[in-house]
Formats: sequence, structure tokens, C-alpha cells
Amino acid sequence: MPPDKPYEASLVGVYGSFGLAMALRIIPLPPDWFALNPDWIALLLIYWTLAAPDRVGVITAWVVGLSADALTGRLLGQHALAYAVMAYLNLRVRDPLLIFPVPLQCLWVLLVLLLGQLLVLWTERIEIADSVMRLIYWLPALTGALAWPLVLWVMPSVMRPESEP
Amino acid sequence: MRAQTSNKPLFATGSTLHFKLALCFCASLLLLAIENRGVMTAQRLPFTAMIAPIRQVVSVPTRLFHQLAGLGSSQTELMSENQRLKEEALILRGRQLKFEALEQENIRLRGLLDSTFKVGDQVLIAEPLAINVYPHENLIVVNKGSRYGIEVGQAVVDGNGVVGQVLRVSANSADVVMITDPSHAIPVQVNRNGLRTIAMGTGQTDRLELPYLSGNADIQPGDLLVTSGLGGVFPAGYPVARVVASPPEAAASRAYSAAPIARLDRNRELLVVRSDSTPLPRIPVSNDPIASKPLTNAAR
Repeated sequence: MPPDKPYEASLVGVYGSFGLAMALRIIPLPPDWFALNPDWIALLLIYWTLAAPDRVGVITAWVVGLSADALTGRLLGQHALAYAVMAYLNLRVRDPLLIFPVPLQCLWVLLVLLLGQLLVLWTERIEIADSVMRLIYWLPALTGALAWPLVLWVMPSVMRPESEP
Repeated sequence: MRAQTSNKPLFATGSTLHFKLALCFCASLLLLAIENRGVMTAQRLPFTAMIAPIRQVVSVPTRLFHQLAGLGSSQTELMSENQRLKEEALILRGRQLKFEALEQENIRLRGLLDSTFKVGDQVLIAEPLAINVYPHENLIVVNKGSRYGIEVGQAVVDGNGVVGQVLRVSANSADVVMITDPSHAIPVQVNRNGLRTIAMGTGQTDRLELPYLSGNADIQPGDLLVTSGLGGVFPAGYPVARVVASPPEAAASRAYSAAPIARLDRNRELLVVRSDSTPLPRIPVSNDPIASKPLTNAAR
């Protein structure tokens, strides 16, 4: 679970972890496995909006989304739009979410990831949208939700506790 | 709206959050509209520059693995491979001799007919990076970009046949969309009888579809499909695919399918065809440009 008290998230930690997530997003897996690769960038975005809301907000999500668009060869703005909406939703429900048990958080992550994929599909060019409209398109949201406990387990080591004023 | 005021700075709450979302939403839609109309392409540059190192770093382990595998191969393997390559080079050189004579003859005949003809496209060797770009899309990223003169729309082939065309270019890399991408179509003709049609990608790297054929079209399994040169992207005459099977009689859509000849999923080197190669003179001059290529030196 993300720490209840705001930890001090260093800039290096935030952007370094986003860089790592981008590397994981394009990792050379066989095509069948790659279709299941969760959107690590979105997962980290959810994590950081919960753990460091003053550092990672809607605008940061938007910029990260633009990079994700360039990374995955989408039109500029597809992931940006999705990530901005996802960050907004997370910031709105942050307080109840922090005290949710992990399975409930997974459910929320699943919903947010599905919404993000829907937004990316919505802004997709029609000839591509036609070809991806299959059930397997939505599976990365499911694997992403299953990977959420892993994110919770790995990520706090990136942060250092806030120095008491 | 006041729900999350507990432990957050004042400016991130309430209506400011709404405002930021609205701002990002509108900016995204604006960017999408701009790019969809192709008005301006420069806005991608800072982001492609930012992600270029990530793409490079991700492909390093696979490249290292291939290099280590090369180190581990035994001397006998290397010697037999060397022998095989020498034989192959000999055969290719033999064909090349004949090709040059034919080319000169072709140029002379075209000169008589008063038409120009482009023979011998310039090519550039590029290596694909070992990364995936996006699921459900058949894209390869190659390690050369606009700095080497690669431009959007240039054809990409490998030693066997057509691979695809350049989709996007940055300074040091280029995205190549393969002929099997679901959104790609390539104008082809049957080598046997010149029948022209269009081969559509299916998303699977081993299958193309030929949906625009009439019921009585003269096409049969085993036919070689070559680029027809229509459309102006792919130069004419490169092999694309081989027709594999006729559709079942009962099927509603009588679409033939074809298997690409290029090894789309496992090639290590690609050739980018420079379509801006200047046409050769109609009446050949004494020292022809083909013979001055370094290939003839390497023959010895």
C-alpha cells in the first residue's frame, strides 16, 4: 500500500522509474506474450499520483503520455489524453483509495486501466481501431491489475522518508 | 469537490484540478487533430529525441546475446558458413555479370523507344532494433534515420523480398511498417501474367490477403506476386509474396491469401531503397555507374 504519509519522492526517483517503465513497455517479448504486457507507465502513474500527488499530477501525466505516444508510435495526444484523465480520477479518489485493501485497489486499477485503453482506442485511427477491436486488446488491463501488488512491493524502495521539519 | 483537501498543497485542489484536466483534454484533442491532418510534424521531435535512448538501451541485451552467440560458435561452423557464403557470392556474381549485360541492352532498347527507365536503385543497409513497439501492429524500428537520408515512404526490402515502407523518421531511427500490418496495402501483380491487384496485411506475419480479385481471375497457388510500381512507393519488380491456397468454394469472401517471401519476423539486416536515385542516361556512356560499385572489387 502506498504510504499514508507523503514521502519525499525525489525527481530522479520519479523520472527514473518512468524511464524504466517505458523500457518495460517496449521490451522484446514474443508477440503472443507482448500482447499481454501491462502498461507499466500507467501503473507507475497511478502509483505516483497516490504516493506523491504534489509531484505527479494531471500535467505531468499529460507530458508522460506524450512521451508514451512517441514511444509506441501513436498519434501525439492519445496516451496523453488517457493518462491525464487517469491521473485526474486518481487524485479525486486518492483519500479513500489509500485505505482500501490491496484487492480493492486492484479492482480500481483494473477500471482505470480499462478506461485508459478505451480512450486510446477512441482516439485511434479508424483502420487501426478496426483491427484491434478484439478481446485480447483489453487483456493488458487485466495483467496490469494483477501486477499492481508487484508495483506496491517494488516502488516504496525508490522513495525516502520525508525529513521531519 | 473539497474531498481531498486534507494533506495537499492549496493549488492542486478543487477547481484547479478541473481546470488542468480541461486544459490537457483540449490540448490533446488539438494535437490529435493537427497530426491527423498532417499539418505539422515537428511537434514530435522533442519526444522522439527523449525516447530514442530508451529504445537503444532496451535493444542492447538482445544484440549482446547475438554477439555472444557469435563468439561461441565453433571454428568448423564458421568455416562451413564461410564456404557456403563464398559459393553463394560466386553464384550471385555470375548472375550479376548477366544482369549488367541485360541492363545495358534494356537501356539501349529503351533509348530506341525514347523512354527513360530507372534501373539499379540505391540501397542503404539498416539493422532493426530488438524492441516491440505496440501490440497488434507490425512495426520494426531500424537504427538509421534522417541523418542517413532515410525519408518517409521509402521502400524497405531484405535479401528475399519486400518488407515494408518507412512510416516515421527521426534523426537516428526510423519506424518501418511491414506489409503484413493490418492497415497496410501494397499494389502487386502476378509475375506469371501481369494481373494487377492489391495485397492487404492481416496482422499475422505469415499471411497477406488478396481481397480485390474477380471470381474468374487467373491466379493459382504458387504464383509469385511482385510489386507493380503503381502508387509510387514501391519500385516495380521486387518479389512480395507467393499465393498459398485458393479459398474454399463455399466461403462468402473468395479472398486468396499469400505468404510473404521476406523473412519478416527474423531478419537482421534490411535494405532501405532510396527512391530518389537519378535515372540512368538513356544511351549508356563508356564507364557505366553500376560497374564502379565496390562489389566488383570484393569479388576477388
